[in-house]
Amino acid sequence: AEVNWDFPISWPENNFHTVNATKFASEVEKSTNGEVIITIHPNGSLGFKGPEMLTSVEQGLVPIADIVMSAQSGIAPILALDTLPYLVNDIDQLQILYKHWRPAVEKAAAKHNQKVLYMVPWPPAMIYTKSQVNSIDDLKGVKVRTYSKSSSEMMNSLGMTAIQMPWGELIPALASGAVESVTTSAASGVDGKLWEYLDYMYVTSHTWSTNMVTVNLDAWNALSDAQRSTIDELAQKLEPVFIENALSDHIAKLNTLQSNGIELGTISPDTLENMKTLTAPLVEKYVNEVGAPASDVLKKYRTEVNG
Amino acid sequence: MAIVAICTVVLLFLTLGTGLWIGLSLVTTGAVLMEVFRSIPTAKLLSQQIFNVVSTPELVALPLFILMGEILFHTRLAENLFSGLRVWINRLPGQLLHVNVLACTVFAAVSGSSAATTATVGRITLDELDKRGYDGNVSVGSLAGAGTLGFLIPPSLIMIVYGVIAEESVLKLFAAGILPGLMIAGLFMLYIAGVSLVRPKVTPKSDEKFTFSQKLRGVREFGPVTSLIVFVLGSMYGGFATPTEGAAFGVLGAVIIGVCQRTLTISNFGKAILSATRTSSMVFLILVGAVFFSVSLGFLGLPKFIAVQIAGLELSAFQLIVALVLFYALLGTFLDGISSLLMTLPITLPLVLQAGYDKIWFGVFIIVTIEMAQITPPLGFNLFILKDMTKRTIGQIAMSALPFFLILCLACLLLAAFPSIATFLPSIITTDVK
Amino acid sequence: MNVRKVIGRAIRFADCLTLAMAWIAGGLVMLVTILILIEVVSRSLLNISMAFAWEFSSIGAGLAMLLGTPYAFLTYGHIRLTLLDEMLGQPWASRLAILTTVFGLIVLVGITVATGQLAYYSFSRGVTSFATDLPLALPQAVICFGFLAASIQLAAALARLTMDFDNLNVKGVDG
Ligand code: NA
Ligand code: NA
Repeated sequence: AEVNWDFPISWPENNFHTVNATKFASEVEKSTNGEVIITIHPNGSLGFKGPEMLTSVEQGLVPIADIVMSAQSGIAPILALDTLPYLVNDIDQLQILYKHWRPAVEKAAAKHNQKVLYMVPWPPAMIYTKSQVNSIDDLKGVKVRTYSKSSSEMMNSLGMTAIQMPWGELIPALASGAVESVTTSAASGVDGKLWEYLDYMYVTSHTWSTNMVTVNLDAWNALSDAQRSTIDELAQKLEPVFIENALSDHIAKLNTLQSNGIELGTISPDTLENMKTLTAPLVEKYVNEVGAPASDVLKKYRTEVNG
Repeated sequence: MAIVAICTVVLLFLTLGTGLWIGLSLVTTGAVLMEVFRSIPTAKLLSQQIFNVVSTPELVALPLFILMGEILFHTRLAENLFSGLRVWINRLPGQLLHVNVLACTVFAAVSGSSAATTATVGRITLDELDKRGYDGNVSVGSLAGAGTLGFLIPPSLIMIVYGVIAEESVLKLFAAGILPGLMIAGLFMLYIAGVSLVRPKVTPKSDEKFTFSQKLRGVREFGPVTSLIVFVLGSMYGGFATPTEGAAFGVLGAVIIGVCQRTLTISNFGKAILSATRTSSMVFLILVGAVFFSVSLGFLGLPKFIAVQIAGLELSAFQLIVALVLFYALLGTFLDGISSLLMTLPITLPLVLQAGYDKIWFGVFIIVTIEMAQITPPLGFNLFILKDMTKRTIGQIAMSALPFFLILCLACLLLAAFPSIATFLPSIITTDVK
Repeated sequence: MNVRKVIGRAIRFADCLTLAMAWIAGGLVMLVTILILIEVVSRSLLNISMAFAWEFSSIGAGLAMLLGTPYAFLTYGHIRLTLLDEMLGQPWASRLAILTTVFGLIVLVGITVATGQLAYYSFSRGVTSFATDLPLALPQAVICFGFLAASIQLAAALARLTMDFDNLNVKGVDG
C-alpha cells in the first residue's frame, strides 16, 4: 500500500535544510518504488512554529519533521548540547561531538516516540555589527538581537545587551536602530539581507545548532521491514552529503554577504580568549542542570578532542 | 481532490449558513475534514494550533490598538479632528466623508495590520460622521476599503512574511507599498467626491465659508491627533520601539490625551476596556478558526493543488495575472492572508517571475489582492470589525464596501499596466540605511 | 419552582464569571502595555532588556483575547451569519438559534477537552518554553479555563433561549 507522509519544515524553499529534505523525500520515493511518498510543507505553512515539533512528532500530528534540536531544550535539554559556548571550534570537532552525542540524542528521541533519521548542523554562529570590533570593549552595551534564553545569556555575558525579539520585528528594529547587532548564521543573514543595515560580521563560532529529522515510531513501525531498511540506509548514505551541503552553503552565503558589502572581520585571539572566559560559566550551569547524560557525553568528547 | 473541495464547500455552507459562530464553523469544518481525510489526532492538532495562536507575537499589537481606539472614543480627539478638518475641506465634494480614507492612510503608517487600522479609525470616525448626517453606506464602505491600507503602507506584517518567503528585501517592499497605497487612497477619495456630486444627499448641506484666520485656527485643533501620531511614529522611527511595541505607546498616548482633556474618567476607562475586550475576543475566535481551517487545508493540500492547476494552464502573462487575482480573492474568502501566502507562494511566485514580472512588484500586487479578500464575505476581517461597530449585517456592510472592492480591482489592473507604480520608489532608494 | 430557581442562580453565576473574566482580560492588556513600555524605556535608557518581555507580552495578549470570549458571547459580540434567520422569520429563527447554540456548545466543550489534554500533557512532562523556561502548562491551563468559561456562558445562553430567563443586565457596553 502507498504511504503518505506530511513533512513540515520551518524554512523557505531555498534554505539548505529544505533542499536537503526535498532531496531526501525524492530519494525515498524512488527507492521504495513510490510506496512511501513524503510531501514537504516549507515556510512553516502547516502552522507549526518550532519549539513544539518534538511533541508534535511524538503525538503523531505529523509523521516526520525537521526539528531544531536546541529549541527543544524545554522538554529534552540534552538536545541543546551543541549550543554550549566554545564547546566546538570547527566542523571536525562537531563530527566528533556527533559521534558521542548521537546515542544520547537517539535515546531522548525514543523516549518521545520517535526515531532519528539524520542530523544536519546549521553553519557556525556569527555576530553581525554596525561598527568594527577590535576588542571585547567594542561589544559593551551593544544591543544585539537574540533568539533564545541561552543565546541571550551568552551575549549578556559578553557585556552586550541581548534583546530577544521575533524575527518579524527584527527588520524594522534594525532599520530604526532599536537593534544594532544580530547573532545568527550566514544563511539567515542572507535571508534577512542584513547588509542593508549592518557593516561587519565575525564568524565567532561561539555556538552551534543542529537540526534533526525524526520519524514517529508508530508511522515507522507501520512500514514493511524492507521499506524501513531502505529508508534507514538512505538516511545514513545522505547524512554526510547533507552536512557537506550545509558547509558549502555557509561558504556561498559568506560570499554573498561580502559581495553585498558586509566586511568579514577577524576576532583577535585576545578577544576570543576573553569571550571564552566570559562564557565559560554557562557550560558549567548547563551541565549542572542536565546532569549525567550531558557530562558523560562531554567527557568522552573532550577526551577525544584533547587527546 | 475534487471530493475534498466539495466536502469543504458543503461543510462551510452548512455551518456558516445555519448561523453557527464563524470561528466555530471554521473549527468544525477543519476538524471534520481532518477526521475524514487524514488519520491525525485532530483534537491534539487543534489544541496545539490554538496555543500557537495564543502565543504568537504577531498578534500583540491588535488588542493594544483596539484599546487605544476605544480610549480615544471617549476623548474629544474625534471632535477636534472633525472641526479642524471641516474648515479645510468643506468645499471639497464629499466633505468629511474623506476623513476615513485620510485617517486610515495615516494610521496605516502606524499599524502593521488592517484589522487594527479599521477598528481604531472606525471607533474615532463612524459615530461622528453619523451624528453629522453623512451617508452611512459611504462612510462604512470607505472605512472597510481604506482600512485595508494597513497592509500596504509600511510597516506591514504581511510584507515581512512575503519578504521572508520570496527572499526579497523587506526595506524595498516597504518602499514599494507607499505609492500604490497613496494611489488607492486617492482613487477612494475620487470615488467619494464623485458619489457626492452625483448624489448630493450623501453629505449634509454646507454653505459655510471660512476665512483664512478660521482655517489657521482649525490647524490648532489637529493638535491632539498630530501629537499622538508623532508620539507613536517617533517611538518607532526614533529607534526606541519596534512596530508592535509602538502600539503600547499608542495606548499611553491615548491615556495622556484623555487625562489632559479631562475626558477620561474611571468609568469611561472601564467602558473602553470592556468594549476593547469584546472586539478583540471576537477577532480572536475567528482567527483561531481561520488558522486551524487553513492548517487543515494545508494538510489536505487543497490550495497548493489549485495553484498547481493554474501553473499547468500555461497562461500568457496577462491571463496569469487575471487568474491570480481571482485565485487569491477566492482563497481570501476563507483563509487569512498570511496563510494563503505561506501555502501557495512557492508555486505562484516562480510562475510570475517566469512571466517576466518583478518580485517586489508581485509582493505589492499580492497584498492588494489580500486586501480585497478583507472585504469580501463570508470571511472578511474588516467586515467583522465593522459589524461589531455598526448595527449592520455582514451582507449590508459587504454591499457598502463593494465599490471600494471594485476600486481595489482597478488598482490591480493599474499595477499590472504600470508596474513602475510599485517599483519606482524601491529603485531609487539606496539600500543603505546604515 | 425550585429547579427554575437553581437554573436561575446558575445563569447568574455564569454571567458573573464571564464579567470577571472580561475585567481580567482588560487588566492583562493593560499589564502587557505597561510591560512593553517598561521594556522599551529600560532598554533605551538603562541598556537592560528583559528576556521574558516578548514571550510574556505575546502570551499575555493572546490570553487576554481568549479570556474575553465568554463576555463576547454574553454581549452578542461574536459573529454569525444571520441570512437564514431573516429568510425564515419567527418562530423558525429562534429554533435555529437554539440548534446552533447546542452545536456551538458541543464544539466549545470539545475544544475545552482538547486544550485540557494539552495542558495536562505539558504538565506531566514538565514542558517549559524555549525562550524563558516558563512552564507551558500554566498558560495552557488558562486557555482550557477560558474555553470552559465560554462553554458555561453558552450553556447559560441556551437556558435563556429555551426557558425564558433574563439576561444579566450587563453594564458598561455601548452598542
Ligand atoms: Na501599515
Ligand atoms: Na474575504
